[in-house]
Amino acid sequence: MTTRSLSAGEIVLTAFSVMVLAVLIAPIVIIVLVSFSPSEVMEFPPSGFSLRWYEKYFSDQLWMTATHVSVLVATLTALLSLVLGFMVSVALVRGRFPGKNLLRIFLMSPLIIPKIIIAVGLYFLYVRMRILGTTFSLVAAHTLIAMPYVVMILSAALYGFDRRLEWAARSLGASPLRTLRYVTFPMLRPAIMSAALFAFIASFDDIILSLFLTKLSAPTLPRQIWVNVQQIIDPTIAAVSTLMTFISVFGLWLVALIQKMSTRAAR
Amino acid sequence: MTDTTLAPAAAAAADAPTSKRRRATSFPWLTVPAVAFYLLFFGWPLAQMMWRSIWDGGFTLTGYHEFFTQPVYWWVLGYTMVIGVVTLVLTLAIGYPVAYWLVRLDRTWTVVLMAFVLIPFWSSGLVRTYAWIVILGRQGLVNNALLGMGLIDRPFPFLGTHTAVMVGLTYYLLPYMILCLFSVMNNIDRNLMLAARNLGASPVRAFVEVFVPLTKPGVFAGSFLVFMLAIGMYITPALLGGPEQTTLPLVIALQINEALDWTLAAALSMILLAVTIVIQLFANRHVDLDRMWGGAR
Repeated sequence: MTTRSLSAGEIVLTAFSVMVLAVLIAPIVIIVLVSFSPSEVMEFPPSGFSLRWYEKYFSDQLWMTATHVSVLVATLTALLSLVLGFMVSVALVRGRFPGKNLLRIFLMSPLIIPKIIIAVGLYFLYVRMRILGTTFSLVAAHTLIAMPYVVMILSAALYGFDRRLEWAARSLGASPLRTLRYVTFPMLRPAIMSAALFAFIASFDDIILSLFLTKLSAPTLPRQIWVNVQQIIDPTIAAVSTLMTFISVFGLWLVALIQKMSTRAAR
Repeated sequence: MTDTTLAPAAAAAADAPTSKRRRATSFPWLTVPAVAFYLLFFGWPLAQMMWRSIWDGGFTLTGYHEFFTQPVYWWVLGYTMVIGVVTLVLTLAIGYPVAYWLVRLDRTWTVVLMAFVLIPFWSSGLVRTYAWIVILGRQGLVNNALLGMGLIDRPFPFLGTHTAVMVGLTYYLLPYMILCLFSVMNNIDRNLMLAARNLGASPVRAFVEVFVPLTKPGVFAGSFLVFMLAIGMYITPALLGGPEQTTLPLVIALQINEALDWTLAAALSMILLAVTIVIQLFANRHVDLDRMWGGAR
């Protein structure tokens, strides 16, 4: 960059932008710092360093149940949405049939409709089917909100896929399944990993569907936070929030890394 | 399958991936599981809700009747729309200069500073809303600090105000806006601005007449996204607002959890859905959805 004298406008713009970025990150930094505070009340800056709120989290039966539910549901959501999403993405990218564009819009629509409407609709349905509060019913709900991301990521990868590699494998005598196993999947591994992480986090971070569709005896982690936020104000929630933030940020950072590496490898 | 024998020939013929010689393979059956899943867990619940809003043992319009005759629901709908518009305006006013600043930095700085936008964007919404309770709540940091300094003798009620809800929503949605704007601004050829300058335009004029019009797709996409998310938001008004900050999603949840009036809940959901669809249809003319989701990731 060439050196240039900074105008007053530039200085104001820079100051404003730096301030906005600081405000964006500050609440998260505060949560992290408060979670390591030894004090019963919220204090900032913390008067010392302690892990007592993390100990409380790991020794509390309710928090552990919630963590178990969240991880289980998110894992199953990732698996189910990958299977459904992979099949439909292959059809969308490679198939030729009428109504393809309509189908794509249909698949994306859970992203655009307010989640509260999906939650209420599923609540009515589950009450009537008597499956409210079961693990599978929550996995199904989360799969619905994860599908748009999975289809988006996988179909983008399939568009860029060189099909001649599959044809080469087939012409050399590989069965369709072998081709899928040894050619298609390895080529798509970055996209499949990204899609799985996205689906996992979409489920793991969801609060609204959990709020309507889980039992209080087996809540997800966000629902347990929700219950506690309204009753108990001690830094345990800050500790849980810190862990959750770490998982989401780390997971999505991995997605970004995988995608960067795979575009570099493609060049 | 004939595919096997034809493959090498086809591969040779299809030199460019964009070749129009696409083989007539068709996989509609692969859509069956996903479509069945969507119909069962998405189409059916929505259809049932629509039905529930007009049928309660017999044909009824009590839900809609109540909505259209009780001023309180009009007020709630109006408040929800106002919240959406104010959030949109605030995120755009704050996000536009920041995205513009970010896009002109050195590559390394952009990558580093983008973390300040991406980390909040990637964190759970509940956690980020909870952060504001920690900061502004009765036993929050600001109140504890003020009490400690003896400036106030009882906690100041920051929460339960319009300001708290607006701060929470703007904070929540600002990263979406910045990312939408950034992705569009990043693809603008900077030589266009230089050309305008060379042709004698002042920096301000080059910015207003060349740069700003080129960012329109990002502005539309970001505004649409932020507005839609703001009017459908549940947790932020529920946690940071009070009785006066009731939005449509909160009223719907109230009917389910406390009033147990499912017909009204279904009718209100249908109204929120109708609003969403109308905005969607309007936006479809201006917003390139593929680009938007690409940008929001």
